Amino acid sequence: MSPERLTAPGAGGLGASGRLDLSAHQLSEGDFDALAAGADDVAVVRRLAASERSHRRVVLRALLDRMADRPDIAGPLAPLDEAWELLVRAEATDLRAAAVVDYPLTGVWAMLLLRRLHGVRYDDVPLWVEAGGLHLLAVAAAVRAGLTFELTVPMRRGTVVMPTLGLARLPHRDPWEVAELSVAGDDVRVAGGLGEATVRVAHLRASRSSSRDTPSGFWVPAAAIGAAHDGARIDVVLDDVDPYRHVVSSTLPAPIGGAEVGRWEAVLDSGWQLLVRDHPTQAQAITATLRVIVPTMRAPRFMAGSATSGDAFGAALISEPTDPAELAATLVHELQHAKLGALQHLVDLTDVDRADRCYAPWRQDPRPASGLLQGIYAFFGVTGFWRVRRQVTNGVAAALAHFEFALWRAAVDCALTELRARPELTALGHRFLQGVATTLDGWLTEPVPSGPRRFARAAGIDHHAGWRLHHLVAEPGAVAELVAVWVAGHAAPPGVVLTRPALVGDPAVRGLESRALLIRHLLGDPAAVASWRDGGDVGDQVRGAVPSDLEWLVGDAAGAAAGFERILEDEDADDPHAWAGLGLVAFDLGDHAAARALARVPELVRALSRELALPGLRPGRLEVARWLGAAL
Amino acid sequence: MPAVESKIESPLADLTTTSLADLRVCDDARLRNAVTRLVGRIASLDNQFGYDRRR
Repeated sequence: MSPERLTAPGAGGLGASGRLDLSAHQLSEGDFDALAAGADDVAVVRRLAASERSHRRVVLRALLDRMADRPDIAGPLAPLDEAWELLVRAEATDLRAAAVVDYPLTGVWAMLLLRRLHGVRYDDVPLWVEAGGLHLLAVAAAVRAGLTFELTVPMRRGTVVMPTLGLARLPHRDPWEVAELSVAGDDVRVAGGLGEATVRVAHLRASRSSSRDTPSGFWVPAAAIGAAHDGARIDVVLDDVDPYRHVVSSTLPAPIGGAEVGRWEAVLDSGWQLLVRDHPTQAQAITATLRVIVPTMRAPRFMAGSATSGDAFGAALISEPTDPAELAATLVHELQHAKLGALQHLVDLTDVDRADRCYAPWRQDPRPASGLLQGIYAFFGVTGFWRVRRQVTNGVAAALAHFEFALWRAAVDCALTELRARPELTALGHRFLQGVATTLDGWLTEPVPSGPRRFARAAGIDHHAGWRLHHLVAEPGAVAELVAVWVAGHAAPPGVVLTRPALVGDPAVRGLESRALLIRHLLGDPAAVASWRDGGDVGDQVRGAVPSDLEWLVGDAAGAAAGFERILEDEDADDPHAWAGLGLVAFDLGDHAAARALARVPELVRALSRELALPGLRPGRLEVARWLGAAL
Repeated sequence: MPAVESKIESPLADLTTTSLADLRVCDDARLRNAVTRLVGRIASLDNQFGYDRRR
């Protein structure tokens, strides 16, 4: 991998033959192994970030080639060549103007459009509007370069978003219209739809801050926030306007108000202080990667949402955090995705995914191998984060940190085993996971206090059992054979018990984390959880939770078992949440054979119980589980 | 004498100093291969250079 370059683009020169004699990026084995081990060496991360400049240009070239096959793609806009030439002129005038090309969300636009042109994505937005993203890049670059120009650009429901600058709004007639954008002297004029407006160029280059009220009027500048602590500074754009900020599909701008920007500023400040103080190497690495936060709605406590796209190195979607530690954990999580995304642009860790999917302990849905790899690396970072937090905090914060550490180290360990058996993993992929495993192995032996450790074990088993109950179907032949063996009064044959079930995938899966969320609430605020027991529906506090979960949580295993049995008897004999809960209470009641079966083959216990519910037979659910568990 | 550090060569062409003007017309094999690799990945169902979310 090349070091960061300060050379002017084009310094090498292009021969008449179109040959540049490009070199390849190279990655030292030391850098590769450091990334795998989770070392967070900022110099390595900076080299990764520099290589993203090349990746973005490959994406752009692929897009230009594909668009060249569609001469009509710009529709009513100026031809693509005109937009491209303006972009080239902007770069030639001022190198910094090309920052629009490297802006994280530009990558999402380019890749979504490329996927659309390859027929693997559909969007309601007309193709010419999406292709006009090139025109918007060009005008943004030209404004930054101080050029005089005019160009037509697409307008989405009266909005024109210029990457890195902000949003122009005009009254509109139709959803998709053409606007004319021109710059002469110090004025930028936008005309389209039912109106036109002029704004000073200097105003376009200014940033929005928390001192402003809810954005209104023609021009909404990009929102910028920052924080500094102990000499370490981070500055990010809060991008609430880019049509591609939601990563998987396009959307309209939704500028947040000054109060919300202020809340982000405050939590970034305190979260940054925590990171710099307690996690300085991660903080440094974050400054080398993160440039854009796409703010999303605040989520309930312990339910923070975030996302990263490999197409948008340097950007992360993050729900408004409830506290500094949550933001810090999220930033570390997304840092991992960013590093791995950039690394995968450099080398192949997996081949193209096969159709079959695998279990990921942090997801409700079955995942492809490449997705599992992303999760492993993200939660590997998260595990390291909580490993530090449990050393620097005390009281309830430490109890939560112990729980998170124990939960995620086991989850990463489990996923590593699964992924290392997959054929998609390349030789480099195996080497990478070996690096992760070596670091993790050291963490797996570290002691954790019994309370959080017990809860972490239960949460891991619960999630896995719930996932199987939602997504796996026991093999009918095996179930029929086991019915016959049961009726004959013999022991369950292990070979039949372990018959591979079918992965069917339940698109309606939900609530796999509800008991883990209750655990977090209990560890973080026991009084609140006690109040949930006394009144109201616990499902109002944690979606998917039931009163029996609270009984289990406080150690009333017999009461919880009766509650889960009641659900299965009276409400839904297949309810995955109740079946998984039954496994947890079986363990607490010392019924280890039943607990083992409900942890490892819960879908088989359920299927067999259903088949044995015959007149005169109808064994208890735990009895069936115990019988199967004896074979495991 | 310090040992020579082993390198892993990437299929990604180094375009860090390539101008946008040159990018569009460049006919270098490394760039062509990098484009082919990209398209091969994004055209798959899962868009392996794509996206991951938490909750």
